[in-house]
Amino acid sequence: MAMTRLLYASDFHGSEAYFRKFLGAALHYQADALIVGGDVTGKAMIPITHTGSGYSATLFNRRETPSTPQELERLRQTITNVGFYPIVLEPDEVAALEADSEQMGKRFEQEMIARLRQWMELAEDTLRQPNIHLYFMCGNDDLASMDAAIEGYDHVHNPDGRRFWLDADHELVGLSLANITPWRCARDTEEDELARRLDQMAALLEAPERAVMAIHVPPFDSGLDTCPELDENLQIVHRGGHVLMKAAGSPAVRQMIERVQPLLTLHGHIHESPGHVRLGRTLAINAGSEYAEGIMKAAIINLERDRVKGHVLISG
Amino acid sequence: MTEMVAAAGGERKLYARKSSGLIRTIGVFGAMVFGVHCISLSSSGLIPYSWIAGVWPGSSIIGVLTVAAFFCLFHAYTYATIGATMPRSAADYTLGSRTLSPPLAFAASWTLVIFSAMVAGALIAWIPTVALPTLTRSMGIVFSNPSLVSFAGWSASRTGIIVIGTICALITFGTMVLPTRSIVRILEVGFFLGLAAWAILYFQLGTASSSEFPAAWDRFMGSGSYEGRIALAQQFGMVINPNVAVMTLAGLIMGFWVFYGYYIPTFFAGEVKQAENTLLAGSWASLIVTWAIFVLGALLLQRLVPLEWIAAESYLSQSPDAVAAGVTAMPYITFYAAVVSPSFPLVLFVAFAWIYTLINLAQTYFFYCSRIIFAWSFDRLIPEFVSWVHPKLHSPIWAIVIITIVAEIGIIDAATGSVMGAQLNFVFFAVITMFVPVIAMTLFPYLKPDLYQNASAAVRRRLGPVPVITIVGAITLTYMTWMVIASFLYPAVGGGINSTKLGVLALLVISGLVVFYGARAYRMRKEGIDIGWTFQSVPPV
Repeated sequence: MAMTRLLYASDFHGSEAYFRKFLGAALHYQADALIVGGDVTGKAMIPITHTGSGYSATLFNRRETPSTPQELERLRQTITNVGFYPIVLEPDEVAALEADSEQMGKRFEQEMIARLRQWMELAEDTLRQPNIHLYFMCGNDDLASMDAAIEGYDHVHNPDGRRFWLDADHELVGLSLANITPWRCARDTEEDELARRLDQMAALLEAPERAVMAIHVPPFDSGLDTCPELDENLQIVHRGGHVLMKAAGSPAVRQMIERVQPLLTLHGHIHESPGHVRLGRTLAINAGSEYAEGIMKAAIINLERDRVKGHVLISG
Repeated sequence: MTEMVAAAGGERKLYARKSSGLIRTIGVFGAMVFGVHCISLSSSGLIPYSWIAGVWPGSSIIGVLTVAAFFCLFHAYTYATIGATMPRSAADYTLGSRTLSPPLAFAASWTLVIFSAMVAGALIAWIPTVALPTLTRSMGIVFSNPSLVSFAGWSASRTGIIVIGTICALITFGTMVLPTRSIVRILEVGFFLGLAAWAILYFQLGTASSSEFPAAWDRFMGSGSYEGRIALAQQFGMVINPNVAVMTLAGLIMGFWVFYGYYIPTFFAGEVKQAENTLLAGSWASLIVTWAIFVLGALLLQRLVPLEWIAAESYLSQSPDAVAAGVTAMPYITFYAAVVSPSFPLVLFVAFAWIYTLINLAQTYFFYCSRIIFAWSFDRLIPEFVSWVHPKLHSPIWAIVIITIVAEIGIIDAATGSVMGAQLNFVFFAVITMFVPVIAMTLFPYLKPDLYQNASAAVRRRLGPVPVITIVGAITLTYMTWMVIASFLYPAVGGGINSTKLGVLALLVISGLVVFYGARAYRMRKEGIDIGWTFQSVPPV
């Protein structure tokens, strides 16, 4: 019986090492299709200040002072690998950027778009010859302007709100939105809006029972959505000396899965809750993320026509 | 949605979006509590005075404890670094399987879990075998209650061990199926109870004068007993040897026997916050705290009686000839404290705290075994149902049931003559299983340079051109090799390792390999998935 092998990961958060390993894994494991489940942009820019004789930056509380072009390039690569954006600035540029938050935001957006485009070009070059298709979706942490950076490639497609055929039997639809988070991210939305968009997604499907749905936020109380509870100041809530954990997934996502019962749903969003769970006949997977360590976490899934033949979570 | 995050001193270090932030659960205090309980304030709390003193008569108890703890610091560093390198459940298995050899790492982990569960049973059996009889006999003697002395005898009988052990195993199971937060609270209560019990012992020993002790002892153990103790021990072969070299040797052997357990948060590193700092701080803190508690006990005890006398009492309890001759020896610090200050409420409180913390000890074994089983299940080496989590209790019921069953086997083994010698050979078995992860960690910078370069700063510390972890790992490996050799050289410590016990070890390792290759073949055929993929590093394009 014909089998399609998917490779799925999410929450790269700008980590170049993660993304490059993900592409490497496509070849290594002979995947037929790749799916990325969102939150692809990084969380911070690291200013590298030109000091005249060299450069100065602080990474993970450690002062770095590259003095040669090779050392500077190595530092830039380290910063890029952990998901941050290195920006080399003169001292007056540092002052100007810090004085103008709007300018800071624009610079951030430029850096994110530039890296995404680099990634898409790398993916196109890598996947053209084996003719593997990458379905690359944003997540709630990614600005709306990121979608444009994913367009215009033959082997890279954005499944957010759209339907693609992975093979002759299995459709793929995606949804980048998430329920409201404490950080009020770019694509956070209310549960009722999420439910509406999920209904629209489901309506795109010809054969839901064989469909794959990439939904950034995991279903509520599924074990794929457990994370620490935060207070109004975004501080972790402790009680009796311990961190309180809570389910942060979406009830709307869970209700939709229970109602539509697709073959497979793929999630991200909650980095610390990798795993898989059955909701009725649907297999739901969260591959987790350790982007800051440059460790790739992903899931390999073998699909047969009417069932998930097997799956495994990998990291490396 | 951008904010500046300033380093200390106001220097700007990065421009972060507000959506950054991540987290884990167990902090330094929690890690220390787990470590202290796995070392055990009760069972290990007796060892320095009841065992070490008699095995090496004349050696300084404090010196032995200090040398032992010192070498454990290196081992603790190695395991903390393993957890910092792979901050997830069963970090040792995860590192070994990703760095060295998946089947060997699994076989080592499998052996550790089965044997740990057996040891948990053997430790539970300690309650009816040693803890209850010691305490009830002490109370019976001190308060002239023959039925308590008689209960002590029944408790240590085969029936008593199985009945009381099974009850305690069920209590442990009942507490382990509670949510993790409740388990941690139970352990924290035990930590403070244990501290309170030691404070009572300090009070009892510290407020008595050395001139009171002989009379107090004789009152309970018979007239002239105190005075003749050293001579009696010498009559049965005790030789006092206050040689520093012997003391150092004893310390080198006793490290894991006294302090084993400080490093167990590495087994659940996935639940530890800031693993790179917490694991080291927690394990070192548990080592230092227990060292300080036991050393203070030794100091106060030696205020009352000479070291040679403590050695004689300990020696008599271990000498088969003395036991056969009907000599009753009570080399327990709890008994020493009780005879100088025979207060029923205080003795009862210490007894309660002792038993509570013994159950805590078994709980830590159950806890880390269940996390390791989780890791296997996550790699899909064992059936998924084993890691099923109860929806209300949020605990892995089946994993805990399996551990409880194996622990019950450990109890029965202890009651029926200890065929496997689970408790006495635990250090040997544990050390054997440690070789895979410790070798993996020592060579990690060279075997996995890409992961090493991306590891946390704590993992990447260097001493000149050599990674610190390679140096410390080499010291740890040397120490572990010595522990294996010492298990054979010193039967009094190694518990008499024989071909049966080595066969059991081989059987456990081979069964682990069979499970690994069996799971691999099954999943390849059934699912088209090679579980070997789980352990591979993928080169970036």
